[in-house]
Amino acid sequence: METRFRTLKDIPLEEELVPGTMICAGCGGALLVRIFEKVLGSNVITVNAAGCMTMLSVFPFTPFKSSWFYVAMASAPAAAQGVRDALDILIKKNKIDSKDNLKVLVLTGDGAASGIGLQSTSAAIQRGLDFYYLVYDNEAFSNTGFQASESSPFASATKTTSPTETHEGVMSQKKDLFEIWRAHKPPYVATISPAFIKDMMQKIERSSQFKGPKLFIANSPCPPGWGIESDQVIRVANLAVETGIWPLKEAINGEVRHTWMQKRRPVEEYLKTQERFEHLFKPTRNDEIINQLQKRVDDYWSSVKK
Amino acid sequence: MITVSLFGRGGQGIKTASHIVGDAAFTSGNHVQDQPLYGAERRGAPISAYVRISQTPILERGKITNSSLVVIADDSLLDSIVDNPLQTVTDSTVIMINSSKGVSEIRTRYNINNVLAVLDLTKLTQDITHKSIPGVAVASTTCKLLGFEFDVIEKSLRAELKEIGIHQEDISRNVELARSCFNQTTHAKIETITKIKIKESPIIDPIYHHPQISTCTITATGNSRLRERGAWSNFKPVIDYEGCTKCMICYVYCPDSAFTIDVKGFPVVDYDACKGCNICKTECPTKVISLVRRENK
Ligand code: SF4
Ligand code: SF4
Ligand code: SF4
Repeated sequence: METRFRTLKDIPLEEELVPGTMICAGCGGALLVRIFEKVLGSNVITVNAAGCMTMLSVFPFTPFKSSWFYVAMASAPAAAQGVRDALDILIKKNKIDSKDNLKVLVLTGDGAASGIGLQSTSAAIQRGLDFYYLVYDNEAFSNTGFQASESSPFASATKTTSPTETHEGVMSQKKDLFEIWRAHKPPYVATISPAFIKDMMQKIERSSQFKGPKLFIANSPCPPGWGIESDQVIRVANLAVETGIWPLKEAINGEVRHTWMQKRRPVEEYLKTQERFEHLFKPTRNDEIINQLQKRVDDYWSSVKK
Repeated sequence: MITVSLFGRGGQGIKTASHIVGDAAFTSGNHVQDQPLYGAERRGAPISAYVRISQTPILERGKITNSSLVVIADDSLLDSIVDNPLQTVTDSTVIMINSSKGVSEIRTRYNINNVLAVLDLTKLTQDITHKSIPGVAVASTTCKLLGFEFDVIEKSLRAELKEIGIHQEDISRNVELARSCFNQTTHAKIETITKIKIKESPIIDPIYHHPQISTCTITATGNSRLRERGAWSNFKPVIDYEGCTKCMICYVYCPDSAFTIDVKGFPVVDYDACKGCNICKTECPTKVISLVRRENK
């Protein structure tokens, strides 16, 4: 398929989200939503599970030029099914013109996607719901002050997992949503990053040729939660990819392809940028944990087909 | 009882400032209550914190509605209608404002007749700590106004900063900052407040309304543009167009849709929309974006 996005400059200039939101300055998630909506265009209804991004619209103000629907944390894919069905029925009965058809986008955080909302997502994928699903993965429950979620990475500090002498922050491994979704065999699954906007635009475009679930999981640096300066968001997202911690990939009908495969940097370059991993370096360096994190990334990449 | 209300923006260290004041008051032998108040936690969004200090046990709860001392860490809040910190001021309230403006300018502009101290704590903080988080300067100045000893302040400060994981070298710089704030402020005469009489209110039975009218529905589109966010940061990005290559990188990476591209292809920042995250400055490949301190309108 011929792409509209050959360079960064091919980005659509129309803003689908106007300024003035309550979202933190420098929020990686907000940037992702802005770009995602630009590529999808104006005929969209966004179904938003409770989380940081529900702060985009605070009554009586909204940044969206298109429709937005706020639903409970666990039920966004179910609500999206209702919206999709209603649109289909109205079009079939000629109550609305098919050119007024809307794309349905579920917008959700990692807390909902990998925890409380996993069941309804699984069911929606299984039913073959025709929708886009975007997870802004800031790796914790940021909206309420950064408590650990099932997506928080191993050894990271969160509000509920402060490192102590006996443990190093989060002791479980980050849930692999990409593989969980892929096991359902949807037509399109991808990981994206705010530092790789062209890759992201091309993936959204590529996914649009499929009817059915089109699922995206996005690395979303969160300045207050990760302990980074807001201007470092893109730098940190870039390191997540370049150290191999955040593989950029897609799976079309289950077949995986990596869209970034270059020489990797050591993971500690990424870890060092963030206060949530600071205890691995200060007051003394914890080589055991750093090596474990490196090994996990190495093991992942050694299984990747060249 | 002395009631202190502190106002600032998320990320300025206001919560920590209230803890330092509370801790110093407690160590000085008082009964103390200190509590921050915020909605969803957001950098840049207005937050307030309240400290009650008393020789006898404190039975009051909740927000302070009449303050002995009002401390405003960010003067842009004074221009806000919704979050205006002067709401809890009475005739006898002492007011301290962190601002680069002069006392007389603030007095006339906001019509303040109270005892008023205006200090540029942001500048002092930048000079000494090389960061722009004025929380410690605010705490130290507040403690001095309340008449606490520096030793006590230093101890509380060290304990609070350590608890939130600040490094030793940064703590030392903040102690230095606290000392210079302490030395440049004088002790104020702060009036204790008298008990407020609480009005009895009747019990109201809620009436059932159909969800179609009882849930919030926004029928406008894209109207958040009416909410200016420029005051969220003390700095704004300024582009030197001579070196700009029109690469659009700044435009692409702005999370807040604050850029437009003009007819010649140059990026233009809308300063009412810009929250001052500085991503554009960091990402600009030719380094033609610099930061300039904002003066509020
Ligand atoms: S807390 Fe983090 S994810 Fe949430 S709005 Fe702020 S920066 Fe974004
Ligand atoms: S500082 Fe941040 S919000 Fe302001 S224009 Fe630059 S990228 Fe946008
Ligand atoms: S990133 Fe820098 S060079 Fe590129 S368009 Fe923006 S200001 Fe100009």
